[in-house]
Amino acid sequence: MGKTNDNLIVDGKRLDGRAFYEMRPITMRINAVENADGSAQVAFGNTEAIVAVYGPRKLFPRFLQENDRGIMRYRYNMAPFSCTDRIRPGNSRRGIEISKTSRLAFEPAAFLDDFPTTVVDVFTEILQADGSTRVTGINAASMAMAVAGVPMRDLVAACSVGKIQGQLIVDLNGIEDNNSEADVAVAMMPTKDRLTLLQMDGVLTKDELFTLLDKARENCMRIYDMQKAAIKNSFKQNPDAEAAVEADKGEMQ
Amino acid sequence: MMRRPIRRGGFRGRDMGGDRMGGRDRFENERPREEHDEHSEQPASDGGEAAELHEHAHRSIVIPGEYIDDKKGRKLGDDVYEEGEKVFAKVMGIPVANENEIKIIPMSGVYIPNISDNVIGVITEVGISGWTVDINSPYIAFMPVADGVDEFVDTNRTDISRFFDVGDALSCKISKVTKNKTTRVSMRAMGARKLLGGSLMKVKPVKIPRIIGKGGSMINMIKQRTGCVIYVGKNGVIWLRGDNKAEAIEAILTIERESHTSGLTDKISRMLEGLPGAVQPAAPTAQATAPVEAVPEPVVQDEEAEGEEHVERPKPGWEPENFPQR
Amino acid sequence: MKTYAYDLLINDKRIDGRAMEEYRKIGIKRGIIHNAEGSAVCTIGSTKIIAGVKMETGTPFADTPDEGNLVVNAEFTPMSSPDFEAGPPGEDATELARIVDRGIRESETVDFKKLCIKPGEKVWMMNVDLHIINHDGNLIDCAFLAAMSALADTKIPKLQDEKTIMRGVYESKLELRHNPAEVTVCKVAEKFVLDPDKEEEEALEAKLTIAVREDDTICALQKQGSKDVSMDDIKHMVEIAIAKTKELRKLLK
Repeated sequence: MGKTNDNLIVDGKRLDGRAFYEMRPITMRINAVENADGSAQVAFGNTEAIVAVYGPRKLFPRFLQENDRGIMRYRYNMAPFSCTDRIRPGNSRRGIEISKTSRLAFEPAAFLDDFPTTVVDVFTEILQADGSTRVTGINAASMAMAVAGVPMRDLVAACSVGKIQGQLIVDLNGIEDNNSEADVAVAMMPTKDRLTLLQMDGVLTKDELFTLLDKARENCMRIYDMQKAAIKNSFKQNPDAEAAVEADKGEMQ
Repeated sequence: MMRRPIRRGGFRGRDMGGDRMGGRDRFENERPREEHDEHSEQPASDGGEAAELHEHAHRSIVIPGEYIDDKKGRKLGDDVYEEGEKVFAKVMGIPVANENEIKIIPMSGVYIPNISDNVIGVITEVGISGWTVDINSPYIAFMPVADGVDEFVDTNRTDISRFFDVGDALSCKISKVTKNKTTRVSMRAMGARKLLGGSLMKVKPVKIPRIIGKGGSMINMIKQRTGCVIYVGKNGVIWLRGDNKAEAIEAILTIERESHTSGLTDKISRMLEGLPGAVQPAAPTAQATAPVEAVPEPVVQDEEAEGEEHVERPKPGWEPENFPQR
Repeated sequence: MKTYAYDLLINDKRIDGRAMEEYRKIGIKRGIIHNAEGSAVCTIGSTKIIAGVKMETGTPFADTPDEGNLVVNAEFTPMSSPDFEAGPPGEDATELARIVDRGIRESETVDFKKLCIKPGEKVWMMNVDLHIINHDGNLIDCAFLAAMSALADTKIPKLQDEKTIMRGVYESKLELRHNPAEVTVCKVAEKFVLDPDKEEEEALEAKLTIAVREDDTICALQKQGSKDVSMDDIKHMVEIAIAKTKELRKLLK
């Protein structure tokens, strides 16, 4: 999965058979960690993230508390077995940076002013890494926060876009990520059409970047629809509930 | 969800049994049966919310950021926000938009104290001029001596733990909440009391209206069928005492789990059929609010009860640490 | 501490109605982490642990030049319980890892000589990483099942030119010579109980973890908890364990 000299594009398709602007198969579900206030598990192909949100809750030590607002803490961590080579447990500089930018992806969305002196803790574990782990984590975190009842202006949806061998693509997998000419991570508040995270490595012309941003926006909207459906569908457990609720009303009064 | 209260030295090992308490829980047997008519502390709006949840459950759940309606001059609830004329959801829940207001009935979320809420708290610290009370919230509450005790107390001379000690459970009222959520509770309220014996449990605070039911119908049914004394706090904490406690606990947990399903009232009714010690309902039309018993003074009884147990919801993080040992 | 759980247990009752020696529902799924050489998730009730096996090459220890080695690591992730904080493994995580390690090692389940690539120079080093996803009691038993299932799922990668590990291409399956199972027997007052959930764990006074091989030999023992026990208690707990491991072993087939 590291660097390779092989062709990443064969017969007009990517190595895993996808079209250039095609995302991998995506699965999403909520309530993956029972102890958490909210949790979700999201997979894009073989990249899998699980997120637990605790909070708002008390924040210690006290000097960290903000009098007029709550704070968010975001911890991005890769499980040791998530990559081809084992990752030594503990903080890495990469993990620290991703934790920070991911947290900032949510700050415009969360109504932290509603919870002075408290903390919302977001724990993101990458169980399997095959490219685009941070955006997968953000997508899961967004759902987990909604399920936990943390007030937000909007969900946050995220995706990766980039360029391999001169060709613009979306949703980079591991081998593409490691061999790309450019790779861009984007997160946004979908219904507000506002960007909250943007990171890029590589080389792009202005036109390429603008095209990619449009593609990112399109895909974030698709991802948002999936997040919304995943959350709502998990409450539709009893299909008869809707009809029967009307009947039950009689007993209430 | 709350972290375990920080342990300070000496609390864990504190012996609350034998010497001070002198014997088993006398109150379990001594309280007269009429106690069962005591109304659990429930905020007036509760039943209403439960009914609303049902009326509107057929509408889809909304997620944060979803548009509900245009404001049209109406009042906005806590869990919605506006941008221009448009009103959006802040949290996941059922939207309500009628002539008067636009709001969300949330499906999850921690308990944030509101003035006048009736809650159940547990003493975590005894200070000089008051007590620190865990109210199952990210915000801890304080109860000044004057709000806990009716008599005059010279705090220079008195160790106020003789009134309330660490681990005591109380039914009390939120008396003040500041802008940054510094919170006070008070025993100066109808039905406020120290809760002796029995067990505590926690449920999601957003489920409390459903557990109470419209006008108290659900909780009253549980009380009648199980013969238990039950106090329900708006903060998601419930105190129960009685022989059929386990059945009452199971019924409450079922409501919490299945709050959106149909036929829940029937199901609970069936679950609680034929228990020994059931109390006959007051009237054939088991109507709305049961009479609130005027509880004499919001002051602590003499320190004779002990043998308090507590049950926790199988969720971590909160243990009233020092329930007296049996 | 005298709690509701305690009152039930001393009367042979449990919060969820189980018998004293009854385990909650156990679920095991193997091969869930595609980047790991072996993996499994184990759930006991709502306790959920993922075990991933990663194999790297390295130099053998001086005193065992023709043997590979095995290291077990556990992470009590902050997502799995509001009581856990991010950071290096504390005493509980370290103890759990070492108990699981002993059960595997002392039972001679893995033939370390078969993990030798070139004596004195290069051997396989196996890392078994336990990642706690949700903590609802009985972490050790769940971790052991996860670890053993992951080992049963493990394949040894091919080596190119005796140097480069060809990830995803396998030489052979890891051979397991034995089938140890492990049970933690808990004591409260005069009662013995198995598989406590998180609430019941608070009521316990002492625990004994016992690893038993398929021929009923005992290969690891660890007493935990702050109360003392009698010799008869120990004997009784060992009997319980030997009987129970027979049942658990069937899950590892």
